[in-house]
Amino acid sequence: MIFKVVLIGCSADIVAQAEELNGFISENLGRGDHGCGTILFCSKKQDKNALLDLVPTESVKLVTVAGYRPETILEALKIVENMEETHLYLFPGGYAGSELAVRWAFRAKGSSLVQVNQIEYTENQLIAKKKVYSDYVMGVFRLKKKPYCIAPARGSASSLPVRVKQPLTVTEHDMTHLYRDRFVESYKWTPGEKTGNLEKAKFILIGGRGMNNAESAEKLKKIANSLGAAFGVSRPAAMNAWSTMDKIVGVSGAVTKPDVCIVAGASGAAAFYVGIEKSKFIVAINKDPRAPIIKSSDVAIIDDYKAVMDELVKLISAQK
Amino acid sequence: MGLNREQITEELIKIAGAGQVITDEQVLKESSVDRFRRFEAYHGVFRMPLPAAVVNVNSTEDVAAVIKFANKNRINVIPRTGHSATEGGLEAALENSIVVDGSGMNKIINIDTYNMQATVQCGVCLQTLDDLLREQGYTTGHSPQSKPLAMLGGLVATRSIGQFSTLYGGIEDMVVGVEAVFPDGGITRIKNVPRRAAGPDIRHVIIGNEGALCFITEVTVKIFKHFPENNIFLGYTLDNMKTGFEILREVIVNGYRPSVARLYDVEDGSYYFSHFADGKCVLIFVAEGVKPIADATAAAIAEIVSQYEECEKVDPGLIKRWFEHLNWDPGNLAEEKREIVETKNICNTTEISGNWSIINEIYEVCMQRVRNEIPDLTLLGAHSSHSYLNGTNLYFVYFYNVVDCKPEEEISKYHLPIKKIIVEETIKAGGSMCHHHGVGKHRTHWIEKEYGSSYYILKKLKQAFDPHSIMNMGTIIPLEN
Amino acid sequence: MNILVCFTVIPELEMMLGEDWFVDENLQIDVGFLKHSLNCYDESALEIALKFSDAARKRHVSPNLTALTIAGPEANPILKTLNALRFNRVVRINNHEDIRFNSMAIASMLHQYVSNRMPQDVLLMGWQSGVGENAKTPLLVAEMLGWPCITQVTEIEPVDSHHLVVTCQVDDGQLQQTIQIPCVLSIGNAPNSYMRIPTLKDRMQFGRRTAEVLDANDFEPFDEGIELVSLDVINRQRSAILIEGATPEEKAGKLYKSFLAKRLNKL
Repeated sequence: MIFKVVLIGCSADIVAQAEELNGFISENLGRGDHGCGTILFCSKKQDKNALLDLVPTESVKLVTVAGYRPETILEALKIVENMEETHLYLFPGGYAGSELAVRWAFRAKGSSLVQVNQIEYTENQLIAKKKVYSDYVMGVFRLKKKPYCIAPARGSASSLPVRVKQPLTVTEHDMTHLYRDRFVESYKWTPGEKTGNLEKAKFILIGGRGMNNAESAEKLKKIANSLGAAFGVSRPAAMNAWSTMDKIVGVSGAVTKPDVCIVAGASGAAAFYVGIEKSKFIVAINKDPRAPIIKSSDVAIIDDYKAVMDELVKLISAQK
Repeated sequence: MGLNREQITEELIKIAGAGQVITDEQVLKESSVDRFRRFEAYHGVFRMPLPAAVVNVNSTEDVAAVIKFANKNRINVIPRTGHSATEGGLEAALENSIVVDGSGMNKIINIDTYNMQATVQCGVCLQTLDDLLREQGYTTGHSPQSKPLAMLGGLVATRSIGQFSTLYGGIEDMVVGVEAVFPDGGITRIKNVPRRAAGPDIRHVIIGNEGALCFITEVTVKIFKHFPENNIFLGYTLDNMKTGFEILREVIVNGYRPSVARLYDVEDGSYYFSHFADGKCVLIFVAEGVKPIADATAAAIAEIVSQYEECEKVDPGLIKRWFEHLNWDPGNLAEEKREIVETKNICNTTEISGNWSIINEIYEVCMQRVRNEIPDLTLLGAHSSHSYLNGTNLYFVYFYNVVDCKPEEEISKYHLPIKKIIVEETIKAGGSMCHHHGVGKHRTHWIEKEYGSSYYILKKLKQAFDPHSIMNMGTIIPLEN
Repeated sequence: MNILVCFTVIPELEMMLGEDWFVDENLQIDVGFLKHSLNCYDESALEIALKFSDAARKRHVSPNLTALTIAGPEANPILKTLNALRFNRVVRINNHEDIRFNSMAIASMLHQYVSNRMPQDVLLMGWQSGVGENAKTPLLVAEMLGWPCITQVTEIEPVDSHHLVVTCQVDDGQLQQTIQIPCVLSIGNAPNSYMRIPTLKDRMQFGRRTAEVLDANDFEPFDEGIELVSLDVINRQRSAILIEGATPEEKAGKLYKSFLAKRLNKL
């Protein structure tokens, strides 16, 4: 089976792209036949050697483009791939990669599926699984038209750092002449705000009434910072002025959907729980075994949260 | 007397401890209002006098000490538990008030399944109590939409009613005994007995006092056996509200007690039921209880409705899905602020009650007047949700776009004029202007008309129990300007 | 300028009861008991179009707004609302086929509508729907039309009758581009995500206009070669596993080792 990996090197998150795809390949595909390769798009100014370290296959086409525009990438892909037999194209997870997957499949007369959790390749078909019905249901699909163009869902596979394969066959392609953007007359880019934003956070630590006072709340906030987690509070804690109102999680505050949520010293009543119910994984730490949060968590510890959190900080920092 | 803010705070710290007295400005702003003023509050406008402090109380003795201090120094006290009030009852009407917050008094003291009573502190959330009871096969039977937020202290103080009242009654039918603190710091306890005739029923001084007479610290309510597996759902579409009222009356007057008996008009119905009742009124019943009673109730209702040709049956499955999502959805509440600020569209309500013979007329005249006199309405409807032997309630629901006015003008441009029409037409017809939300601070204007000569009794209660005028001033009885 | 907003209505899935989540032998899930409402990204698209129209009129550009959906009669309440909000044209392509996961069929119908029936200058639609979660339709329409496509759009502003300013979310910030029509705009997480609400008066005056109903059978079919094999309801019950241990430190250790280490690594 011949698969190709597409990487958008001119994107800020190129390392994450490469590691996620590497993890996805390792969990779903195995090695693949001779002929597999990577198509790595980059801009002129980039450090090409650093980029080449991220290639998860034995060969790579290094394609230089003037700037990232989907139409440019798609045209370049057509030229560079030049009707080579390829069964499967893997694109990065995320909006940009997914867009390319769909549009490339159309141009290559294949089929596409994005936000995919798992794939299984056989001779005549690709079976792919992805979440549907607002993530209530797992859909299993059969793709019949090659090339199959797939973009994984973010976080569907563990990130796997690339161990550089020796030797790496590199061919270079200059596609900078393709940048002809008649339809964009002018543009302006503004950097995004640093999101301390609870709603977008992937890892959140929340404290409730059980914090008991402002100093403990401040301490828990510092713990959150050291863990790289966003810090939130239940409403009673904010109404006691142990934290600012913008940190409230729940009915009168943020509705979050982190991958990991740790709730310390909050009973988890309905008005609060709605703020965390979309979390992928909820850990509850509470002294009261009858607190509603215990039954609504994935994993719970009945104990004083302070000692548990102190130990957790040690373990997580040791790992970094 | 006249202590200043700093002095008030200092004294409160001595009484309750520094950790329990909050003077953070944002908290004080949030504590100066309730849901009545949420439009301006969501826009960051807080016009009410800022309280001097919020004090968290952790025991009845704490409450007594704080209120006694306030009484001595003539400081306005605002009792609060769940903070879900909708009529301004929690607004600070006077300068330098003290908000006394009982939400930390959240112990479930005792659940007695033999005597069928549950005793809880005032800060127990109704949802928490009822979920716990349901695990054991019981229920409080009390289910106002605010269930996920409201707490027992406030629920008793506002004479609240829930969505299953046709079977279980309102809070006044559920309270067995109660403990409350009065302005002089006195702690009074009314014991738990099934019934007595030992003088007037003094529980009714406390139930519904809206914090204007005392602070409720502990409540004992009845609990009921719960048989959700026997629930039978019945739904019908029909053309006329008048027919709907007739049917409701027939059901109740003949002695049937479904837990839910509701009539929605076309507009209000379209909000929930557009997928099966486009352009029609909707009648909903839920028969609940032990199987023989639930079955008999459902059969009887079906029989009564069948006599009215304009009624068409609706798939019970549709009613069941609606039933499972009755309460304020915490998810929707979480979005509410953003939605209101973005769309500049807000929903408010006014609930009234009246005898069977006047209710349809009240409905028609209010709908016509509001529609004609109020601008920018996007939805205007009503439903009846609590029926009695001698009449029913009407819950008017209205959404409007807030157009060409500042956030703080929303109330005077839209909400109060709508309320005025509904209140005046209802009182004129002989009904009551407040069915279950309480008077709060915005229907006080009509309180004397509401009571007529019996206002004398209400006034005397206030004078007797709160001679220094410190308890939630401006609530029920208007401030003397 | 002709602006076409394509939208879909979806069942309010949060109202489903646990027992409702059942897949039948036709790979259908019965959502018949549920109210339908606008897919949230399409709602943003509709409001963005209305805001654009308000702003455009101030610049003497009068855009012509069409709202179109491919659906059965469950979309009718929304169509009434869109008429009341004074969309110039409101269209429903009546469809009974299963197109939940068939973006190609949807895109093809939209392509044919624009090419053969009613020329447009700007197409707006949400980037995915809450049922299919395909995230393909706007991209495929752009490919079929041969038009440029901008994704994760959050805002548009008028310039003149052939140009607009499009703001979109990119990896590390926001991009504002002045573009020439025609183009397809795929709406992402826009800050204005709630559509305005028509007044009672507008509903009475404009809401009664009928939507134009076309038949999906009149459009050429298109097969992408993707087949639905199965649907499996995801068990959302949380396990509530209690971690035991003699000390808080021991419990923390178990928590990290068995549950958190791998998950935190994936972040």
